[in-house]
Amino acid sequence: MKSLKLVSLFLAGALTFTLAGCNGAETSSQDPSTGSSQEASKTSLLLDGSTSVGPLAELLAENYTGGLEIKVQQTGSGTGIQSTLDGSCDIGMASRDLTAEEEAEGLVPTSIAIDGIAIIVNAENPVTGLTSEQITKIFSGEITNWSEVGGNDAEIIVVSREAGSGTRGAFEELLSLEQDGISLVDEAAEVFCASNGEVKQNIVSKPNAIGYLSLGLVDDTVRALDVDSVQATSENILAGTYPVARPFLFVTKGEPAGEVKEFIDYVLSAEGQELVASENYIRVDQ
Amino acid sequence: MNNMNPNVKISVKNLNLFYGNFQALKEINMSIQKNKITAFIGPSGCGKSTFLKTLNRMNDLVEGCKISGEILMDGVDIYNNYDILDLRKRVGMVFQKPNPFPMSIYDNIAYGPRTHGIRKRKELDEIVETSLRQASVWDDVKDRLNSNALALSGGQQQRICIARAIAVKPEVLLMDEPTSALDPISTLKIEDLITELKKNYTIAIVTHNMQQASRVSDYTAFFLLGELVEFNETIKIFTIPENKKTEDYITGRFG
Amino acid sequence: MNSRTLQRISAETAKWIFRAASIFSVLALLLITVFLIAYGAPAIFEIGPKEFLLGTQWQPNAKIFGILPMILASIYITLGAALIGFPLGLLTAVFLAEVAPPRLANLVRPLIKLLAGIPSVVCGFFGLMVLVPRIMDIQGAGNSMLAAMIILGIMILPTVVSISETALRAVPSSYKEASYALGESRISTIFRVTIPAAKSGILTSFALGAGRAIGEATAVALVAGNKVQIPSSIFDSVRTLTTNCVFEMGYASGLHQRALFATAVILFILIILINIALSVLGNKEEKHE
Repeated sequence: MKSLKLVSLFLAGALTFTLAGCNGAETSSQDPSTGSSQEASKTSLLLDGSTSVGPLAELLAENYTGGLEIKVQQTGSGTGIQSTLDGSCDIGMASRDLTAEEEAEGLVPTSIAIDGIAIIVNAENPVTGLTSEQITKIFSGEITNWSEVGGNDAEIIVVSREAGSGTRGAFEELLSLEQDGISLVDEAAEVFCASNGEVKQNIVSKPNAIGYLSLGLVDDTVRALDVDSVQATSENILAGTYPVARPFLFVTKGEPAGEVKEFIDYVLSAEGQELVASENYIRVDQ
Repeated sequence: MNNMNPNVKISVKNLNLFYGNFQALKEINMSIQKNKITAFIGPSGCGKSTFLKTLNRMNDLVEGCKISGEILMDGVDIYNNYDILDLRKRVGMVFQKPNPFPMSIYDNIAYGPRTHGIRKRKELDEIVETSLRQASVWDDVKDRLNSNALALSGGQQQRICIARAIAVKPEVLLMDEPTSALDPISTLKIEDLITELKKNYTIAIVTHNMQQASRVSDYTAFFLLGELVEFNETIKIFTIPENKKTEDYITGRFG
Repeated sequence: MNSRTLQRISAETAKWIFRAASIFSVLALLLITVFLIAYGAPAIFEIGPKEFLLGTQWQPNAKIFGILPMILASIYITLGAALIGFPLGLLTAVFLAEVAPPRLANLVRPLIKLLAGIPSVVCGFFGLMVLVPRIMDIQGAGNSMLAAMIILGIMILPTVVSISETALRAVPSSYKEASYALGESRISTIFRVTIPAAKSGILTSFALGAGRAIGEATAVALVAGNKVQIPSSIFDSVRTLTTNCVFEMGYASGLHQRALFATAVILFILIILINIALSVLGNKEEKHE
């Protein structure tokens, strides 16, 4: 029946166009806001990236009164930077400095806070402090027993973040744990976690574990070690005596503009930076 | 063990059977003769299959089934502290629809003996051959003992089932409408087989087919609504029945 | 248009809708497969098959892509999960289908199905908080192949149980009656007749369970430790093919990203091999009879 074949052909065609249409919609939204081409004003912003910066970003988003809906996704610094590059998010969150290659692609970092990285151990561990050298040796596998650094006779269980983590990147850079593009922690660590929460859980449940964590996320379930006899506090970071610190960055493709700039201005304002300080991060406006 | 007639294999006394509240068998009294074929006839739902299954306690599998009365085999009550697994070795069963296991013919026949402890290959080979010969199916399958039993025709499958039942060397064979699912030619072959088998086994056969009963059996029991209406030598039942209901049934007035 | 014509039109339309639906299903599968292979397979040759499949180091920044430790981890963990989940699942299915009184069975069955509804991440966290510390008391860090095997073994139970139970229930009761009539006990009948008769369905449940186990990422990533190394004991920390993809796919680009797709291709091949193996096993037994 000719009419039937036409109907079914139409159905098939309609479905194909819908699929293609979906694809088309994707590509148009993938176009990054390169400023001039963005005609319509946005009503929402998407932030994506570091699980260290995430909680702070959520807090800032909650308190933001500018009329924009701010959504925060925490998938890791590496992913956030990638998403910013390909336009699938508006602001990338990174807990490490951008690499030269990343800057060359047109990414612009805005520092919104400074974060210390705490070296954490189980609350029951008698060790309260280590030198940077000792830390490097532990995380590269040279020191393997707590007794070598004044603790119990027990094997050290090294806990690390996954390869794309900004916290890890910053940590390894600050403590010279990288050699020819290869992380020395890959060999030394026993457990690799995909988020800060997991790291904490592993430290809490293992008496002989050691790991690293954004200072702002440290609570009394774990102990932050002194590094080179300096306590891990925001004062010491500001003073420059605590060596393990890194910037929290909001990354944009090109200079921030439009609604994105509105939000970033808020974050850098006194009000925004108050929130930063309230979370034990170091404000960048003083 | 009172006045035990050596010709009586199974003696049923005042047997009543209940499925929950429904009474399926009422005051059955019967003596089944050794090495003879006894047929159970009657209309659908009269209790003949139920009665057959009391003889190897397959009714025990039904929830809520209770019996009262006695069933004695060789003078021993099979419901009173009697090992069921041993009972079913001594009393075998062939079902209405042929049900060989989905295994090789060999494994089908060897299943029973293996159940009862026979493991040696040579012994099993012998038993398999003997049983298949007794069931008149050896020539058909001797070259393909390892092939799947389900690949055989209906009549052959039923003979496999018979061979499987006799492989454990029972004393009694219960057959529940063994040919009703088969074609006429297979039916006649199996009737011949049954007649042969009575030399070695006591046989009770439930049948819907009165002609079959009159062809094959020595004794016939007529059941109606859970009661045993009449029990006598087959010749007498079919020529000079004593009960009017029996006469009505065999002349086709009902059922 | 009379009602007769209307009927014929709706019947034809229905037929075409069914055809369209099937075409799309097959198309979806083909598209994913083709995309996966097209994007990932060349990477294998770019890296070098030997370096890729037999390499023991994974260092994307240094352009080193060896996945042997992860292939082994995936295989071992799946085997372990199977060793735990298959017997446990089959026996539970037997319990539900043959042994349990109907009221108990009707209570247990939905509980097991509920297990299937628990998200992987919850299972993983359960493993991390409850299982891993216990394993640490025995040996190692606790995050280990063993932890993954146990958690996965539990996670595949609903699949194995429900499909096996259906297969067991489908076995005609005439087989069981024949077995009882020969003097066999109920339990022996289950193992000599019912399970062999249900073999095809049971093997299907195994194949699906194994597929689930080898494809699981979230739960495994939380308990397996995720170190790239060839394991020498079940207490070692390992990283599976799936975990590797999950860890790095979000930010990888260029050759690194294509290497991850190549990893997925290898995973795909492993799943196909498992299915072939179990299917052959099923057919082989049938031919014997």
